Amino acid sequence: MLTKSGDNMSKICLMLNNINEFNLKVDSILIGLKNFNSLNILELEIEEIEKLIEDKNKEIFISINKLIHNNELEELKIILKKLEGLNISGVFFDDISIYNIVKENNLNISLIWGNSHQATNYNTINSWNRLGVKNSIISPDITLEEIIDIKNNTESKVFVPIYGMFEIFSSNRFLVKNYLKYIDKNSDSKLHYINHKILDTYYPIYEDSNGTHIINGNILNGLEEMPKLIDNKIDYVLINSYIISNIEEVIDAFNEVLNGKIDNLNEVALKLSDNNKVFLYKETIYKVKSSDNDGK
Amino acid sequence: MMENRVELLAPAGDLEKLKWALMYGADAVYIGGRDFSLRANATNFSIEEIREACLYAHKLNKKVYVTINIVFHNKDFKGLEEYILDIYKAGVDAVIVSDLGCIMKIKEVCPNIEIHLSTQASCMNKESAKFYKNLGIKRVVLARECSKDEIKNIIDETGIDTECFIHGAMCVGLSGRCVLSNYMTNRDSNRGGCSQICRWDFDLYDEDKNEIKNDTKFTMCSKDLSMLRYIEDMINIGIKSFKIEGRMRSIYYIATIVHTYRKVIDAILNKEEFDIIEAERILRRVANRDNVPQFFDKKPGVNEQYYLGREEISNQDFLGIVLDYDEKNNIATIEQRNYFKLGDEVQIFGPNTKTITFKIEKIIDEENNLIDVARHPRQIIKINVSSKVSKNDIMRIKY
Repeated sequence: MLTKSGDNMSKICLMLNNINEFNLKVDSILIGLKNFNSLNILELEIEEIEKLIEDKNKEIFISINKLIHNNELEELKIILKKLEGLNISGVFFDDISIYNIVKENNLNISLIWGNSHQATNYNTINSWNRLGVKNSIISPDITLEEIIDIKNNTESKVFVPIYGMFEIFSSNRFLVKNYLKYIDKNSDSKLHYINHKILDTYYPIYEDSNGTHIINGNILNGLEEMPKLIDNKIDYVLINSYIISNIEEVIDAFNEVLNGKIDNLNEVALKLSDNNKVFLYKETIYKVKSSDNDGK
Repeated sequence: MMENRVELLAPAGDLEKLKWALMYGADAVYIGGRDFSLRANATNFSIEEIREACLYAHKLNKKVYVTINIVFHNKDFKGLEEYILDIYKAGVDAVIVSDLGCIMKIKEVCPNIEIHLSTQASCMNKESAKFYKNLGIKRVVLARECSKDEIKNIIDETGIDTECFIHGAMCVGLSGRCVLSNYMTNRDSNRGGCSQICRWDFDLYDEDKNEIKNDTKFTMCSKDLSMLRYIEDMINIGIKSFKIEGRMRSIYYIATIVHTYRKVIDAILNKEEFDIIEAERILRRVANRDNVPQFFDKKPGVNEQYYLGREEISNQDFLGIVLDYDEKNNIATIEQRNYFKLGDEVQIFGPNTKTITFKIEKIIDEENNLIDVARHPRQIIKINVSSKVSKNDIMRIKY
């Protein structure tokens, strides 16, 4: 059953990782554009997206959120013009060139600003709003209080990452390939993990045509926070299915909350995964001590 | 007569480093205030110190830029307006900013202050540069991932002033898009607390979580950047400002790097010869790290990464600072910074002193006693130096 979310209700946006997830009970999905996406989600060619939209019964957002090199601009312009003709709900972007191309060419494309880490305050989101970008993806690196504070101080629609494993590093270098070359070993794995003895967490690391990406090894589980997000009229909650085996169960649980049918949230949340809140209740620190000339 | 004058821009973690950077040939320095700056754990500058820095630099006809380059959280905006007005009144020549909300706030409260876009914004194409130019940004510090062709095209197509890094440590991730530090140590990389996770050693596993075992651990650590061999190319394609990384570096490091690039840039502009091998040796030695051009000439590969053998030993090369020189007796007064002794071969260099190499044949302490070893930090001693040196020249071990 599709969640019956009205305009004023929070919606689920599923960050798709497998085409089979397309028919899960969510209002909207986010797909990456092949070679132009930096999120850990399914990537499709523009023609494949076009076909998918033909069967559309939900909102479809496209992520074109990698940082763009100069020699990719022409292709990008063609893609954006094609996307304008498709019935998509919006484009997630990070690189400012996308805003500039859309604006200069008067393209009728709704934009969602924010890479994974920089939409951390309402002043910046409101600055984008005044430039015509009326939606932002909120960073998963901030607290629940900060998220609510943003929502209460902006007219922009906000997308809040609430469940799953989200990207924490992106590089234009091929770090796994370089290392394997250095140690003269081969690996057929498309996906690797890194772990450090003091962390005891396996962080997924993979390469694509743009370079290397590292994903948080802990599943953010914000099911219990849903009532608060709904009360504060968060527009979209983002659920990333990346290497999550029970995504249907997760989606069902979130739909139940949206429909006001769950009382025992903590119990259900624990069934889905470790009840890891990542930064929802933990502020990062940055002033560690006074001057420490470590030569870095 | 020099043509195409370009700016050599140095980091300064405090007022002392600022003075050394300018003395050794920087045209401008970039500094951080006590807040809003990505080196939260450097000493940084109070408003009064920023004022003093500007007075000092402006007397030399040089410039001071202040970084306001954190990724702001809601509460970080508190005090920003007052701070911007304070540093403007203190005389700063520009602010270096990445956050659009912060840029807009600056334009609102202090429209006359010059704004430079921080490399944290990762601007790497002409459309982005055009956006920022239209917004009133005077200069863009381009992403470290830009190639020569990309930089040239951005300059040719937009005419915006550009600033590029020429030396120092590299973020291996895309600037502003790495939060490993947040997730692995709770230290906020985008607000000045980066704990440099990219330099850690990790175990690497395949998709079934079987370890790919090797004596050499997986790391993401990149070699430092050095554009020494491409300075002429950089001048020719029209880059305006040549930036050195390292606001937390020592005065010895700053003075040495600035001095080396100053000589190279001036030699190129004046069409004079310079010893690039010697310059490379100095740059390699001062940081104890390998340095390479990174993205300018090609996409970095395995040779641009560090896996083992990094020498992170504390640099003991910095032996002292010249306080005075007695031309009649060929004696220099030195403030000691590291251990040296009779018979050591040393060098002295300075802003106006061509590097000289000599052997220590005499050391006299403050009580006029002949001694064999200068072992006490900041000890004032006299040594023999046969040719003229000047106050604030630096003595180092012979390279």
